[in-house]
Amino acid sequence: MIEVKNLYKDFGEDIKVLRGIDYTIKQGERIVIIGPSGGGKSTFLRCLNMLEVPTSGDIYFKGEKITSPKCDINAVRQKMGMVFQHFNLFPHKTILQNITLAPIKLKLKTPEEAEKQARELLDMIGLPDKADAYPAMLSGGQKQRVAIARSLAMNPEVMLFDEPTSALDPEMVGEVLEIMKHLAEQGMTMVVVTHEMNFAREVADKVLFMCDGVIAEEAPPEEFFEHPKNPRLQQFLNGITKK
Amino acid sequence: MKQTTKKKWVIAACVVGVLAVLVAGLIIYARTAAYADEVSEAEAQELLDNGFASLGRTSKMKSVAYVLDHTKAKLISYEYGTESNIIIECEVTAPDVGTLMAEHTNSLLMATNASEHKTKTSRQINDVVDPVLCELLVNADTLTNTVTVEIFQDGEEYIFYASDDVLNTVFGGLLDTQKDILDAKTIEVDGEEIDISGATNQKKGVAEVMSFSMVSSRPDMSVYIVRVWNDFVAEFRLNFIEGARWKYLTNGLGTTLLITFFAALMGILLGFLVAIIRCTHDKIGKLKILNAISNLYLTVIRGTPVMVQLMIIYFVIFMPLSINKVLAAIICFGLNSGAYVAEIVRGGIMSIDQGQFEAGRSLGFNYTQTMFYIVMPQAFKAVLPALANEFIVLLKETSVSAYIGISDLARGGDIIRGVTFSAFMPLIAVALIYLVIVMGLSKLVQLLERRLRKSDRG
Repeated sequence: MIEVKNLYKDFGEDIKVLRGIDYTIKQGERIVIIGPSGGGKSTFLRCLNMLEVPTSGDIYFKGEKITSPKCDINAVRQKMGMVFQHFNLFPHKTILQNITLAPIKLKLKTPEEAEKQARELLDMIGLPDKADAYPAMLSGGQKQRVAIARSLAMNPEVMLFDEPTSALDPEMVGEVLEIMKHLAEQGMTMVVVTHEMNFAREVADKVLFMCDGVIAEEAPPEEFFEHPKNPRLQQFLNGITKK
Repeated sequence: MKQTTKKKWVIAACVVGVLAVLVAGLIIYARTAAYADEVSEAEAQELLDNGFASLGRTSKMKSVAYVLDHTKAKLISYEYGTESNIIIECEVTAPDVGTLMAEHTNSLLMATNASEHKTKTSRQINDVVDPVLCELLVNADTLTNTVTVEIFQDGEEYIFYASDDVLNTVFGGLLDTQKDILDAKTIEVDGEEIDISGATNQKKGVAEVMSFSMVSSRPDMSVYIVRVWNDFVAEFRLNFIEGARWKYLTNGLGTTLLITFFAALMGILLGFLVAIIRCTHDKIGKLKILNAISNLYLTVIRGTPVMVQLMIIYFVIFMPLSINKVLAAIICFGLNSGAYVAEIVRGGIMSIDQGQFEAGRSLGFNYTQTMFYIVMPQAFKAVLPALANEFIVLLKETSVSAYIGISDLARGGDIIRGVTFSAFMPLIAVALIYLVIVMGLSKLVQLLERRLRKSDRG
């Protein structure tokens, strides 16, 4: 579904964040990316919907070359939901408006359809009574659940999660991961950058270890966590389990 | 909460009560202190005689002394006024100087028409005319009139006041005659007309031989605070009511509001446009040429005084095309305001978290849609206080438009000052009007802010 070929990304002359990535994400796959800070996980994820423009290399989404200037990237992004570490809800809109804004303004749905769908999504994330609240009135976990609902309102074919639980208080992490597991069960194609190893173990079809701008190891979770081959990964996993 | 409201009401009631007592006390004080001491009828008659005699106190003319010697005032009745004054009705018998001088205008002027008098001052002419008039007065008729005069008590002293009308009546139209003499154009000598329209000193000398010392306006003997109030009312009438001078202010206010409104409108449009151009350039590097033009615009407008800009726009560009001054002012202030609005709005856009922008783009909005639906509403809320401030400054800055001859509010006040020679009232009025409008504007913005802040309550 998403094909990445020979992807490089530099910030200026000296900072080479991605150094040649080739990877293919298949329909319905749940990919979890882990790795040390500065390893290029988030940059890789943000390249997938062109929030970061790659320095070189190509990305194909359903066969369409989205790195090409001719590509209508806005249309592609409608099919790729993204959830951010800091939620990025629109503070001047109510929760309902946050969810319905894009479908209505992009003329994908009538206001009535959009609202009906938004209320269903609010039921799904367990916040049906917050429709008319503003983001400032919600807890971090609630905000992130709304952010997921906002992305889902576009009926995306793939969801990108950029450290969705990193900015949350520990007791709120669970409620967000629940929603993500629920999505996974429904067969959503997902790419998740996270530090939640248990989530990776339970949900992922494949776990990628990104380090120094390359995918250093990729394997199904069992093999990944039990028999890591890459020494850097072994070191990384040791560091985590010691904690 | 309820407790404090109650307390507020009690305090307000106390304040109102104290104020009411103060005002009542002042009124009673003003009333009691404003009466003259009681006098007997004989004393009143004496005051009246002294009063008429005092009319000659500054004149050295024998003719004046003669007239006042032959003026007899007989008291008919008197009453006490509320301004420590005694109002006296009296029967005055006096020489008919007015008619006499009117009949002999020609000969009086002739007496001073010899070439030796041509270079004399009006005072010196007085001395020439005085003996001539004295001779004529012997044959003057006598007039008897009933008039009302006033005597004001100021401590131990008494001030005699007779209005111009009273004196004119008593002395047979003297004041009218004096005016006629001053306005005279020719005199007839041996059937030959001589032009005297230029002989100002001569005419003045003749007219003012018979001049009385008197209080030119009715003395105000009321209590100080009442006098202040009376002065205030008089000033107010002079500056705003007489000659409908308030129209200078209302018309000026109209012009000021007109200029401010359209300039603000233009400033908003221009400012947002420039801000968006600059932000777009900073964010995604497009619009290079427009960005350069915007930068030039900002540099020039913010680098020169608005007064100079206004004069350049009007005198250099608009006047040769004979385009309306107000339009020139609107364009100038709009251009000027636009530059400041642009920087304010740009600051607002820059203050919005980049994540908001990314969230918008990730949902499939293009750059413009993201700006319009997500960034601008938040930026607008953030810059509203600064924006309101800019328009308050703009409102006051339009007072500069007097430099190109627009009669705005500030100029209106200045025009009144020029006519009435009283600075306090018109200028304070102008300041107050500006203040009230600015306070109104601030209140409006406050309400708008409160509405927009709805989403902030956590």
